[in-house]
Formats: sequence, C-alpha cells, structure tokens
Amino acid sequence: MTFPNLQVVFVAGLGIGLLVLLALADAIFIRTFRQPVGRWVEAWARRFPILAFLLAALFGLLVGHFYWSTSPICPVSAQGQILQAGTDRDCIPPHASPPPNT
Amino acid sequence: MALALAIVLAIAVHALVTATTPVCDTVFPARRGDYPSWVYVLGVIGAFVIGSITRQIGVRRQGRVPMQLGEGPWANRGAVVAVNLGVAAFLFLITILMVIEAWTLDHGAWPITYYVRCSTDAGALVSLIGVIGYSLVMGRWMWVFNG
Repeated sequence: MTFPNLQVVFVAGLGIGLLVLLALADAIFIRTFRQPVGRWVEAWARRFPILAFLLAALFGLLVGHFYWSTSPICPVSAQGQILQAGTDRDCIPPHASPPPNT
Repeated sequence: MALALAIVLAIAVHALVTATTPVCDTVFPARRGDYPSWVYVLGVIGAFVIGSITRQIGVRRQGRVPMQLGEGPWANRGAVVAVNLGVAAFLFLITILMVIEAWTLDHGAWPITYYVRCSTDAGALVSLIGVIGYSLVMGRWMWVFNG
C-alpha cells in the first residue's frame, strides 16, 4: 500500500474504532447493568472530578495540537524571494512591505 | 449506532486500501485542511457545551439524583470494575501513543501528528464530524461540576 495510506488506516481505525467500541460497550452495559455506559462514566467523573477535568483538558490539548493551524510566515531571501523550507511547505507568504514614506 | 459507525469505518478503510496514490503530501502533510482551524476549534468547543447542556436537561427531565460511582444504583461491583478498567485502558492507550510520538520524533520519522494531519487532509468532513462527536461525548460525560 502506498505511503502513508496504511498509517492513515490506523488513524481512522483508532479514531472511528474507539467510537464503535463505545457504542458496543453501551449495548453491553444496558443489557448487563441496566444503564448506558455514559451514566456509569458520569458517576465515575463525579467520584474523580479532578481526573475528569484533566481528561477533558488532555482532549482539548490534543485538539489544539492537531487542528489549530500554526503555519509560520515563510522566510524571505536577501533578494526578496519567498523561501519554502522542506519542513514548512504550507507556510504563509509574508505581506508585502508598505512603500517607504518619502 | 455501532453498525453505522462500523460502516463508516469500512468505507474509509476501503477507500484508503484501494487508493493508488498517497492521500496527502508525502514530504510534509499540510497543517491547513479544507476547513480553517477555527471551524474545528469552535466546533469542538460548541459540541462540548452542547454535550454538557443536553446531559443537564436529561438529568432534570428524568429526575435523576446525581451520585458518585460506588453509591446507590452505581454500586454494582462488576460495573465499577469495568468502568475503572476502561478509564485505565484509555490512559494506557494515550501513554503508548505518546511514547510512539516521542520515539518517532527522536528517530526522524513521521510522528502521529503528521498522520492525523494527513487524515484531515484526506477526509476533512469525516475528521470534523469525528472530532465534534468525541467532544460531544466528553462534554456529556466529563463536565459534571454543575449537577
């Protein structure tokens, strides 16, 4: 399989697969313990509120890390040419300098 | 629900397995996808708040008394063990992923972050719906400070 498609399969599998597992756990908990898994986790969060807050904060950190665009400004050479380094292919071109006051 | 999600997963895996070209830039996956980052950030914040509000509405409508794990109806030993094991397994998974991230960064390989960006580049809408879904669940389950 072409790189990086296999690794993206793992990302999709983990991302969507965890939700599938949660939905299955929900069905099992309703059948076995008469309440959906969410209510049990709510009770857990009331028992350990600081841990619950930390988990929510960790989730927020991960979302920010993955999805908040942090593209840097592209470097400019002495000749005024915009340089795109190998690691910054999606850098933002700098704004054109305003004309000097003369 | 599980069936619908499994179908989405099967479609995504099939599309990736049968693709003959890379689904993103193989040198450096773009940090910016089809949607601007504020769509993801505001979507996630909004879903978290909506998740918390819908939980509160559900609690009031059903007249449930908020109790801690181990109290009243939440004292079933099997369920308590299962929930604690689930949380421990989730934390263990996150730890493993962070170890892999550190190892790849140390060895000059693509970190997991790049593959997530690649996934976002390949399927922006699925990524957006997925991350909003997780945020909704987190808001419903974890924000329990107001009742």
